[in-house]
Amino acid sequence: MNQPTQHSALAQWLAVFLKEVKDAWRDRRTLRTVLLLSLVQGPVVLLLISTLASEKENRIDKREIYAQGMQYAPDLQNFIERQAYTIKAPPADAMDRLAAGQLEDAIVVVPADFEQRLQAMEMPAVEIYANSSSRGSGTARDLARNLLQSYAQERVGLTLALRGVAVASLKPLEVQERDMANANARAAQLTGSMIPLYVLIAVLTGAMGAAMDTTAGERERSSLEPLMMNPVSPWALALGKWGAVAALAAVIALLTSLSFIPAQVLIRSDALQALFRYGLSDAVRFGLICLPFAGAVAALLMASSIRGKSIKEAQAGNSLVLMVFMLLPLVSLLNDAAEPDWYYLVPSLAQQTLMLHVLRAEPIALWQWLLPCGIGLLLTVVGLAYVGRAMRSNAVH
Amino acid sequence: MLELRGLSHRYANGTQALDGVDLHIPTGMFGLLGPNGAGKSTLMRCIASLQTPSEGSIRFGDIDVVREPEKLRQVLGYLPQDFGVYPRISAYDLLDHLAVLKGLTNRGARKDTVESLLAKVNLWDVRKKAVAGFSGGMRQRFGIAQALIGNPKLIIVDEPTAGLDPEERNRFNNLLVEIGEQVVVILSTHIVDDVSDLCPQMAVMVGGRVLLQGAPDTLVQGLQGRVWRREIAIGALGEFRHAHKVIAHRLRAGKTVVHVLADSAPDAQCVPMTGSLEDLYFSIVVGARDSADAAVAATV
Repeated sequence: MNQPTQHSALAQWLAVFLKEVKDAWRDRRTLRTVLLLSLVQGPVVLLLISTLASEKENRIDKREIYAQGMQYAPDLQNFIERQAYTIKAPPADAMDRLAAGQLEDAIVVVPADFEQRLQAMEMPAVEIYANSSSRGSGTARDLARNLLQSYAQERVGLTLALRGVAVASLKPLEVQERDMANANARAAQLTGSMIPLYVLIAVLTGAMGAAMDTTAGERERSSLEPLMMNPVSPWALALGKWGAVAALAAVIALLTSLSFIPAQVLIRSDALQALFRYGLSDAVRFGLICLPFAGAVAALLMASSIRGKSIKEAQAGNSLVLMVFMLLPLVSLLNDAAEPDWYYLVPSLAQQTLMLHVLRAEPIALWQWLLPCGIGLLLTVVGLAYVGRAMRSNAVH
Repeated sequence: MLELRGLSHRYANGTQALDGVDLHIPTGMFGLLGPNGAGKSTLMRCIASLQTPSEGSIRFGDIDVVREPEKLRQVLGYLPQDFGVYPRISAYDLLDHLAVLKGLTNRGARKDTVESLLAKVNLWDVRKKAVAGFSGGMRQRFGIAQALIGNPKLIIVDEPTAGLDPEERNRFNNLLVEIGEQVVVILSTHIVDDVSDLCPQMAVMVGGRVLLQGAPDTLVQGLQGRVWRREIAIGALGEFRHAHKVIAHRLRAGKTVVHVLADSAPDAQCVPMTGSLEDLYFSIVVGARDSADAAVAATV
């Protein structure tokens, strides 16, 4: 029979890596599910965001308003109808439903003495009933408020004009708003809070299964001992396994990023449709941004999993890792100011920040690319060192 | 030759799995007998460099196993007690992969090795089937095939025939004998017949210690004239045990047949019998248990 030879660490790594990749390829069903989920993320997320945005647009387009007691304010009624709004009587139980959050609308209530008080210039109080916990009710409230304020302005203008006072004197200065944000940045107001987070979640969940299978799964199957019996360095083993997990995570990152391109046809909001521009170069940049994250996540999840004697045990530890990486990007949502530089030191937060720059079509400085890469590399090395050491330790057996 | 000196191992939870084990294992089959929890698997894992012992030394020829485990792994074949496999990989592909890890980088040589091993263990016909679907016996045969990759000089098989049917066990044992002629093969088992049939040298381990070592035939000689057989009533075992050193008992046709260890006939109804390796093994195990009980009683 043939004698073995001492082969290089690279050859060992390659052998382990290829075997892990072939093993993952053999499990077609799991692979199909994971990759399909990556492809579906984009359409689902964009559909969700655009549905939320279009709800608001539809409400505005509907041009309807619930009002009670409008018969006491014919002039107001006339004004509202001139704005092409339809005034509808609220249902009998409207107030109860509104209080219970079951009515996605607002109700304008006009007092019986509206006209008398208006004529006497005594400021009649018009009430707008809404439920601030309901998004639709809040939108309807804002619309009603704008209508009433516009009516009030018209009334004041007419009253002053009748007294020979120029209407322009009401406005001592003209305020002109100039929005410096480009179209992409404006679209990113809607998409920026969700798209990067979903890409990161896809990478985390996709890598987790593979990381657990290649570490705790080996222990559960009792296939780790026969593997360790060979003259393969634990680092080559750890690195080979990591390569396969990281490669899968990177593929998932790229597929999820690419899935947003065809998903643009599903956008239901006109405003978002007009503003959202996302092409191949954006998807590729998303993928590149996520590469160091994919590597670090693969190593850290493997490190977390290796102590588990079964996949179930590993899941408990990995849930903590996932939770940390999913919560970190929320830090940026709480910050109204420009992102501080330390964001680029924090994995997942750094990637989210970079992806937001891409969505806003903002340039990314070299240091902003390199810093997360360096942190990712460091975490990868630390994670793999732990895995390699654990594979040889007594605790694993 | 494999030399173990003063080998001890204590697990993190305080369990003393090995306690000053000294063994000298020559080329050929070596049987390691012991009950469950004796420390056999721990010893096997220490020799196989899967675990670093707390104390002691292990030398295989020129190789200091504790200091240079990677050198041992180049000449080691190991079939663990629980040999796990990957879910979807075929026997051929898995053996090929393990051969690569073993260092058979030349594709042609590796192909020859894999094919000859599969034929040797009678798995050639199912080489393309997933190992996960193999029966217990087939899986053990695959296990020995992977242990034989690269012409190992030291082969460790840990409880290899547990759970196998008699035919599979026979087939496996024949394979072991065939490979055990030129290399060191350590067969760790609690099946006495396997050791008596296959091993010219053996040791008995109980409670982390080696209590007996030598050639089975020679060791059994020491029992001759000291093993007695008697039938007693089923309920009388407890009382009989108090009076005599019972090393084994079994139920047969409504009575309890006991084997007793004594220098002379314990009573008139005891008949002498030829001691077997099984009797020797039981005498060691029972003796160790009685010593342990006495030690506990003395401290109380």
